[in-house]
Amino acid sequence: MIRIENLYKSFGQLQVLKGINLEVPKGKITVIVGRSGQGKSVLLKHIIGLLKPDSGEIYVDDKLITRMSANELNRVRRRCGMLFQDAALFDSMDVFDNVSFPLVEHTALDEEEIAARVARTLALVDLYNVESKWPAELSGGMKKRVGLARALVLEPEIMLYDEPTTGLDPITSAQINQLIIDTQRRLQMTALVISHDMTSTRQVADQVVMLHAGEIVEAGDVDSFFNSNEPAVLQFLKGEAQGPLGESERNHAS
Amino acid sequence: MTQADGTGVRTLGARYQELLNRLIVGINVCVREVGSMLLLAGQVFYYGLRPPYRFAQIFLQMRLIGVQSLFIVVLTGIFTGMVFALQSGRAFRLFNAESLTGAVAGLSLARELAPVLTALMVTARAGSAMAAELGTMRVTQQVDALEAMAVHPVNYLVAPRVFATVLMLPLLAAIFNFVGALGTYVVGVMLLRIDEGIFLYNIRWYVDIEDLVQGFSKAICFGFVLAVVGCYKGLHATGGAKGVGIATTSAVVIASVAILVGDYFLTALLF
Ligand SMILES: Nc1ncnc2c1ncn2[C@@H]1O[C@H](COP(=O)(O)OP(=O)(O)OP(=O)(O)O)[C@@H](O)[C@H]1O
Ligand SMILES: [Mg+2]
Repeated sequence: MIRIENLYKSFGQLQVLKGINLEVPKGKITVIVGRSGQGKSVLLKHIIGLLKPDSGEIYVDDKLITRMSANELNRVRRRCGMLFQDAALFDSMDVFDNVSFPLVEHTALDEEEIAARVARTLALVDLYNVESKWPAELSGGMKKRVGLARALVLEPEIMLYDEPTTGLDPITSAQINQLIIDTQRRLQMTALVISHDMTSTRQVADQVVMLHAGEIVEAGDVDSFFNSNEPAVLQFLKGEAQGPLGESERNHAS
Repeated sequence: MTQADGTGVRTLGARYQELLNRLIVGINVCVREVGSMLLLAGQVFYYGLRPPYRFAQIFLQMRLIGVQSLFIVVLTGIFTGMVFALQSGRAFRLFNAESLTGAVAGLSLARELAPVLTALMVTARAGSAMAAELGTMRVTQQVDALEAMAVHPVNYLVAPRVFATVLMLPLLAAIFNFVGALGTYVVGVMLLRIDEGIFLYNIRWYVDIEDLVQGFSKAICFGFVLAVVGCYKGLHATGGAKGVGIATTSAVVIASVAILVGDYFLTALLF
């Protein structure tokens, strides 16, 4: 379980997170939705300790990670996988070395087993015979899937997905959604997914959280979210240009 | 008239105040930056000297830093030795002491020229590359990805580069020293027609093992400094391609200045 308490974060003058309180239940899939630039990725980076909050606490399985030493934090991170929004592949390594990196670092598997695990994980994301390609030679969607394979290869207990299906075609998106659901079921994983895609949100989510202007405007299970009467949620679901979200964006900018 | 004077004084005062403020901000930034670099230097030992040990990375970096700098080090070494012999040979000729050319060139090479110039060349060649490479990794979130996978960037990226530079720089300086001496010999004996026997005898007589040790110790220190500065600037790059460019430039400038200033203090304090 991940528990976030009163999280505040600013970059210079820009207040990005303004008091986030959130519980991500164990063994469930929680989807974070919200407009672009509202702090979803920033929130995710706090959970894995890449950003330090200005104030507030984050607990992962009741361990306070916001005030941990680097070595303690690494012990927690070893149980997590993270897919970055723009994949963040190591561009000095080929696909095989990228995907095998966590295995080489954190397991004692021999070369054969590593190769087998890498091929198996790449097959999960529908990639074949790409091991010797370089990240620069891949399409955007392929990069994202290699990033996904790299995050999943250790079969972590906690997975953080930053927009796993953005930039993928509808068929691949559906496959990735199914993969998220399958791995979560198989490993009893705690998953946190950032998504703009309402179809996949409906498909994968157990719980949906909506973030806007650095605050959580709605949180609840899938059905209650999609039946919500909250004006902000309604606007988001219908994709209307006018509404509380648009207005506050204008206020935000001024 | 008096009124005009009054405002003149006031604006002068205001300007002085502003200058002072800027100076204070500048010093503040400087002190903080030096502090963070020292912190990184400490982390290199803390995270670099504990498992997992990155031998493969160290060897890779030794090849990049050492082998690929070999050519420019040889080139600059030869010409430094040659021009030094030319200048000092002419100067010594004024009072008929040109047989000392070899000894003076040998001493200068061993103590100063080899470590300092090698370090400057390696800064330009490898220090800049470290800043650019780590800077690109930083701004494309590859460093974040590394951290998210529970690998400490100092352990994986910084320490191997620092260790490799510290190992390679004395070797490169020794090569610089050797080809530099060769250059002095060529100019001194073949061009200025100094007697070969006396030339070599004087080098051997005046240049001690201590001079070589001094040069190598300096090379080790400079290697440490240039690698830490290069990695620090890379890891702290912000804001895309332009930020990486700025990081690279300032890594070279800061490391070069630190090497030259540090050289004086090392010489004054330790030797
Ligand atoms: N390292 C940083 N330095 C300064 N500002 C930042 C930094 N990271 C994010 N921001 C700012 O924080 C805000 C939220 O960014 P974030 O990446 O979390 O948005 P997001 O909700 O993930 O949007 P998207 O859906 O487009 O990915 C943005 O205004 C962004 O400019
Ligand atoms: Mg984002």
